[in-house]
Amino acid sequence: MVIHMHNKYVLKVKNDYQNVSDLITKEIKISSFKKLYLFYLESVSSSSLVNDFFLKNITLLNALKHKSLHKIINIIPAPNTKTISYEDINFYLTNGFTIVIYNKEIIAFETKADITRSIAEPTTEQSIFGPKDAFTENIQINIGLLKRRIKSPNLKNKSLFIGKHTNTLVEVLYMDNIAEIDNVNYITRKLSKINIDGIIDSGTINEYLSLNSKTPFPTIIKTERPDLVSSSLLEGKIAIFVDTSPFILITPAFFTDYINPITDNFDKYLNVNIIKIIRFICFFITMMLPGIYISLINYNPEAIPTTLLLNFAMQRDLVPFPSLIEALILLFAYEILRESNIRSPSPYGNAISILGALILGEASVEAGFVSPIMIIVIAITFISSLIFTEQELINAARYFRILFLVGASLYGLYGILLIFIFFGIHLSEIKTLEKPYLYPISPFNKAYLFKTLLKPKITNDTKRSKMLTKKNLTKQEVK
Amino acid sequence: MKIKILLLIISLIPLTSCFDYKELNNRFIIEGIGIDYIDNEYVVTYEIVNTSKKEDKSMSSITINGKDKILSNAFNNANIKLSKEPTLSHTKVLLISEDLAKKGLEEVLLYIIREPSIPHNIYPIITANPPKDIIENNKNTELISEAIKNMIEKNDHNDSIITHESFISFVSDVINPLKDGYLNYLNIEEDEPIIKSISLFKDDKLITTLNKKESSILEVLTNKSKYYLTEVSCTEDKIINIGLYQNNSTKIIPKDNSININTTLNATILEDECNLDFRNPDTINNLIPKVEEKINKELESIYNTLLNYNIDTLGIKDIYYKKNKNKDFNYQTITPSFNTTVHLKRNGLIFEVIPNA
Repeated sequence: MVIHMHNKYVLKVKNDYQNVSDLITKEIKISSFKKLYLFYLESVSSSSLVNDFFLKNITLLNALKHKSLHKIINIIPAPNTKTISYEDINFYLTNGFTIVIYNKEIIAFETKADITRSIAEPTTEQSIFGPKDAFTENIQINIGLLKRRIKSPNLKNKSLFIGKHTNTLVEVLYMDNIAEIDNVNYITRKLSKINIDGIIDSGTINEYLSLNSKTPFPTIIKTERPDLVSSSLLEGKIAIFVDTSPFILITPAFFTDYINPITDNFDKYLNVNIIKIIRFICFFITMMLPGIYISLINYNPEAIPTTLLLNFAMQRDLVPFPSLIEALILLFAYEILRESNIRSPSPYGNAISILGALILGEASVEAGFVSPIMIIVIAITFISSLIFTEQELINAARYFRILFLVGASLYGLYGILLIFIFFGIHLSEIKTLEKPYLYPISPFNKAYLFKTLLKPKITNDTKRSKMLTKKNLTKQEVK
Repeated sequence: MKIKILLLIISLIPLTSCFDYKELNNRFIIEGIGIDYIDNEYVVTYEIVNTSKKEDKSMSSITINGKDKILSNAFNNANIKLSKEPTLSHTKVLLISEDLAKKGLEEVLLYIIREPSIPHNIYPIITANPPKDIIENNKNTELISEAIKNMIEKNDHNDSIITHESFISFVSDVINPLKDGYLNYLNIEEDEPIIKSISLFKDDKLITTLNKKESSILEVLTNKSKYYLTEVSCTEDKIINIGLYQNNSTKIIPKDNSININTTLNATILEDECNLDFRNPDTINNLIPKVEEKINKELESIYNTLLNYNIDTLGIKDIYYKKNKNKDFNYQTITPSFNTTVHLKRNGLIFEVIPNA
């Protein structure tokens, strides 16, 4: 009868993992009638750990004669040992645990293989003087990188497993004594509603959390920098870690957060503030410059100094296309260049850049295809966009760039004004974690404004934003 | 919602300002306008910048003109000859022939005020030669309009140019019954344009044109002088040449039966043919009153010229009206008193050549 019960569990596991070649099964005879079954997935578990923790200690099995599996659970030298039910087998097996089945009992002990890359430098948000470590695909390493920076028991996390097949571990991290627990609950509630086959990386979670905001602007920060996550948590924000993703999500994220990368923290505030203002101006340049150029030359040439206008006119002579079409052609060409540069391996990237620069910069002008001034306008537009690390922000600027271009070609400067009003209304409508996206510009908050749009003197950075926390506003006490 | 968006987009189409849309290569940029009156007809001449691509990237011009008895038709006749849309918003100068100015500029002024595309900060200039000839026969590498504009705005050493007498300030002088206007006067000398005198107006009609010396003194009186030259003689054939700089320092102070015209000028000795000993303070103390007296005489002379022509370029009637609220005040009955103060800069005056050094 007992043998029959054993076979039922084992047969079910074997049946579930039919045609799964990395499942290792071991049968260990305890007595004439009793067998112990051991399962692990070779791809995610370490055979040597299985040996060290269990097989080398096979003498322990003597303790099993006429006794329960629970007796040895405390003797197995593995760091993480659990008694589990049959329903949990799949979860533990795929997470690198080794499963032991004996009689009706099942235990799992952790034998996870080290299949993660080492900590590398950030590739998307580089800094000259900042820390050089970036998150990896391993969630435990990622949380470790964070805990190296915040050594406090107040750093709490809520764990969820999302994805019917992937069972991806998602951790919501927050500072218990700073962040508003309502915000944490709001996020966990939203995450627990996700019922999908699989979560492959944090991008999917990002999409789920941004479902309500119909905007091209990013409402959640994606970062691979542990220092940014740490400082955000200390401000009262919430971080979402997704296993297998090196990009951590931070929410809420306001418009001004994207203009100011964490790397500014490593420079003097007097120097950084100039850069911050330039960056803010660059956002408007990248969004509006082609539109303003089109409206000025086609509707309001009187606003351009005569000498400059004459230069423009001489350069545009013999260009067969209207300036709008000329701008669209160049924008399209630059988008192709940017996309091909991002996707192609770096040796090709250089070749593409040279080819693009030659074709667009020299040959197209020589061929009378476009005017040199339009190349300058579009080049300034694109160079301005490269200041920002967040791709979504660059894409949002592109969306509005086209709107400004159309508005300018239909209405001139009046069209620019109309689209700018629409842009302002649109930004005011966006919510991030139920908070206004334009904060701290509207509603105005001096404390947060000086921390985002400008960098304050370190001794003046004493308060947290009331929008992010209400229970712990004091950041530092200056003596 | 979709229907609303569709309706919004459709409603935008008739509202678009595409009618105003004009590509840059479909525009003719006009830098100068000349207006003449020949054989009872207005002749309007455009100086258009040739923006066609050239190897040497030099700037040349195209000239187009139109004629008619009515000024607006003359402009229209010039416009219809153009193959591209005329863009008048970058017009810099308005050349008006002396003959037309003597006939009266009312029609020209009204047309330009009513024409929204012509900027009101253009420089109106009276020309001795017909504007058509000046524009068409330009042998300069620079456009004639550009050259004149630069001459007015950038040449601080031309003591006969009124720097800021734009179209709108001239019009405000013309329509003001208590003040008369004046404009720069352009000559062509050896194929080069030159401004060295000022034309005086009574209402909208040109009355007279001053010579170079008178023009530069008038500028001291009107507070627009930047640089002005005068000389005092020490012997019969030897002079001391003096450069004078003004900095908005002329004040016209009305009294009951007299008017005080006070001026302060900074002076520099430019040439000393008399070999004065400037190391001796008495030399300078003796020289300064002479210079002041000379300038007072020059100012009085131009003041009397204005009185003779019954032209109130200085706006004395306006000044008295502001004081007494009396429009019928006869400014010719009052006695002017000129008080000039000269501050002599001594830099470079105390060099002494040591014999046999």
